[in-house]
Amino acid sequence: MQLESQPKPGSEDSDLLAQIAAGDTRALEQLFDRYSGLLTALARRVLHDPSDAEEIVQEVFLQVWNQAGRYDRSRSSVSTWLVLITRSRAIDRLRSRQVKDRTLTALKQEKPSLHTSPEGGRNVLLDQRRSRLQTELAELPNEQREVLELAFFKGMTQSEISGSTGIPLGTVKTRTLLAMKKLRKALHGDIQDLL
Amino acid sequence: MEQDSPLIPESEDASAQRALERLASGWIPQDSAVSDSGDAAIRADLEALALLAYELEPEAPSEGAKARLMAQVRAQAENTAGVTSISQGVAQLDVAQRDPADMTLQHAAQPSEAPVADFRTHPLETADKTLMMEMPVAAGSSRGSGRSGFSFPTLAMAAGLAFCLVGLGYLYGQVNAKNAVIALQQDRLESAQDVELELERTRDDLRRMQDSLAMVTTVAQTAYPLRTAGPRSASLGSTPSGKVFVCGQHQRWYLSLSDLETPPEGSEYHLWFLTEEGVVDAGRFEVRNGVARMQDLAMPDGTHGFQITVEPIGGGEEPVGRTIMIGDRPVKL
Repeated sequence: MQLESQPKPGSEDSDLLAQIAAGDTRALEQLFDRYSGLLTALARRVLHDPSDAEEIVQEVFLQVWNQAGRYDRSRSSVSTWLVLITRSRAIDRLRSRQVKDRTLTALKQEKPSLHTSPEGGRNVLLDQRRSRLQTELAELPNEQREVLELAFFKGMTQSEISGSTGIPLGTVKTRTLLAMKKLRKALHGDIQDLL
Repeated sequence: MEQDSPLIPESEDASAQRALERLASGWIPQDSAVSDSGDAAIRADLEALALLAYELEPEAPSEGAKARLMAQVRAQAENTAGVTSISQGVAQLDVAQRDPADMTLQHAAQPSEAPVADFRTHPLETADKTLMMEMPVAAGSSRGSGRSGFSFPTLAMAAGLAFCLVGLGYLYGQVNAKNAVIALQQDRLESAQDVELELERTRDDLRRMQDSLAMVTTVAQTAYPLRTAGPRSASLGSTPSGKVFVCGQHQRWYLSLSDLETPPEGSEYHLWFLTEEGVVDAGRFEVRNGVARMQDLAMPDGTHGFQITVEPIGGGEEPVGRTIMIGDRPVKL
């Protein structure tokens, strides 16, 4: 197993995964530096619990280490793969009773985070993507943004959203699809980059 | 094998709906292969959804998180290496078991070779060497004792060594057995994952078939006949006809058009919902041999009619092209 080769600075995500699949721990470190901030924020947004969020991110990167060879770029970009694995694990955790109980407490105590990305200002591409997304999401009507966020960050089905918000199912569907349509159009360039 | 193209092309909304369903089921991209013509659009929608994570300000994990991760990774790597070492160690034991006296003499001839007590890297190999070095060797006195030429203490030591080797062999067997169990469980896990993927794919197909079946079997309660929209439609060059059928739950609808010419170059047809709050895009549709079909699972509340326009490719949130057909007079079926 190769453990010491040096990945090139700024390697493409998929190159890093190939190196990880070959047993390159430095590539894993580089991928961790690149995405741990985003994935920690995502897990924390789902779980509202910093320690659980960190555990999830550790599990995700261990999964990456063990299953990098199973990544198939024809199915998704690396960032989407990482995001969806993290989201899926975090939502599974959220659904366990114990964490739900702790979440209620943590929600009350949660304060805005002052952390910054591990790669900080060097992660220009991701920062630009974030900036664009925040701008586009701000353009969405609140009710459309709400249903989309409930689906993504809480793992709710449209029926569950309808049940929890009291909004008719048809309206939930319409709002979600309109939001998706706008998002797809606004982020066309980013999506093409990822495909 | 070539995939059959769907009879009715999925609209953007349908692919978005499927992407949302996958998201709700906790699907991750390695779960199933791109299996049908709709998956490219679904993938694009999932990429769009995953971008939502970028809404969040990144949060650095705690200090030491990376170090802990890398320690776990290295521990895994070392475990793998450890299993390899055990195998190597036992291979040497096999040699020793074949002729322990020779091994004893061999070590006695090299007294300066100190044992290395690194059980982490070569546990059995080291144990083997340590045992060999601790044995008192009676190479000189062996000639005068008994038929075999070994003294009693030497024989006792050899017996002890043999006992230890048998013990180590047993341990090796246990390790091998556990490895076999682990390998079996991994195989089962992978098989279960394959079954799960297949199940998910089948569920997707089933949902799609159910949607199509519901469209056919559910009695459409209302039809919106589409009529050409005034003189502007004269440039169509044909007289298209069609209807939008709306099913009972007011969630499913189905557009059927015939005798419609392909749209002018650089443009495409769009269907629009007419609602109390304005016009809402239902998506674009294609014409094949004059016929167009389109269906979907959702429509805005308060929809009271439909219209078809010719839009520049890509379209927009509001219709800017000419209206060619309109259907705002529902007929109960």
